[in-house]
Amino acid sequence: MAAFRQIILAMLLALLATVPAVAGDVPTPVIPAAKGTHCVRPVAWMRKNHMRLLMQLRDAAVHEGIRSRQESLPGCMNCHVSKQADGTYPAATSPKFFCNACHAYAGVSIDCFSCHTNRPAADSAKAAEAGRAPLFASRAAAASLTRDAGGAP
Amino acid sequence: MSDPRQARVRDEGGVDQGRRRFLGAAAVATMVLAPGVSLVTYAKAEDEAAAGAKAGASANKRWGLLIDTTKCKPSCNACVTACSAVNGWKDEGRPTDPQWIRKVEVTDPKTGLSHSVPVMCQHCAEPPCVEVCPTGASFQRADGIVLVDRHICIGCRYCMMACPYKARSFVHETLTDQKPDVPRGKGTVEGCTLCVPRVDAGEQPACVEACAREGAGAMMFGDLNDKTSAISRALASYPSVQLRADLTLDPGVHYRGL
Repeated sequence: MAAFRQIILAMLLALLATVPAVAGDVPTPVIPAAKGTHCVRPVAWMRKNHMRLLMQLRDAAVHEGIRSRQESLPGCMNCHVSKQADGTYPAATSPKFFCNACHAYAGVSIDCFSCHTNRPAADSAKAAEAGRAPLFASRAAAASLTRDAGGAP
Repeated sequence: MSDPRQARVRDEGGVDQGRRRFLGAAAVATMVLAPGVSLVTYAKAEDEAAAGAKAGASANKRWGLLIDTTKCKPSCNACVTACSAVNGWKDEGRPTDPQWIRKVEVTDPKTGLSHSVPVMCQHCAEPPCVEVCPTGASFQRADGIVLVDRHICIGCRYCMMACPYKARSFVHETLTDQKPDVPRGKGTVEGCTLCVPRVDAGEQPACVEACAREGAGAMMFGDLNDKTSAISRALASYPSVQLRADLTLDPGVHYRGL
């Protein structure tokens, strides 16, 4: 009986020893690091639900005009996309691009970036800001837009 | 968890109750393991959601434009240039190039009186583009802005045929380097959005701003429903017309001097 126990124990140990090796042999996606300290939702939740969140935010923005700078696709790009060593941004189809790192790994094609930019908004937004003066300094002042917009023609 | 948007997102999955309880427990564990991170994140998300909800499109408003054709000069193209720059479209003169806004020269053949007028989507109260859209992609926001939801648009171009103002364009070719706030893509119909991301942020459309800055200050933007707004007061003080008013589409864009 003792011998049998030893055999079982040896088999279990052997099995345990093989587990890390097997895991090490499976290639995992290389996910580019984000610039920020934390995501807009817990990371584990985002891994599973990011598309649900994006579509919820999308419908709210397009149809209801409820927009959030941080919680939006450009917001994601701002944090998750950085320049590569050669000074260029990774192409949307490249596995070095944040979204595509996992989506290419999983064999899932995404077409978001045939319309949406896959670069941080911050750079281009700065350029756009330089060319325009905001009408109102704050969102509270924006409420007066209904009465004060435009100059008399 | 008081954020209704987040609650809706969480509830969309058709998971059974046992699994939901397990996930709930996992979520609590996350909060305990990393309280600083998750709590700060949720607090921020809820603040932003509350601020955004207030700024959403309201049915109490009806955004409109008033264009003074007696001031608009034929030599000036500032509104078109600004629209193109802000929204990232380019008209290089090819017949299929997009035109979200264009300058149209009109002359009365009898008197020879001519006007130069910017024409863009007229943001009709009864938009024919919305009526004919087979997928619901062409829609009207609560505040009267007529848009294309390009996630739903199948590119049939029925709306382009229905629009009496030729206000919509079709994207024929693959695009790159779109503006972050203005996604545009091949195979969908697009048009003037009244600069909806700017309007939602309390700013004016790019054309109006450029007209005031570089042009003759011939364009005015505001709420047609608010009788005290500058645009409503101007509309009440002198005659103006809507283009093809005979079609009774009640456009949100009004012209003075035509």
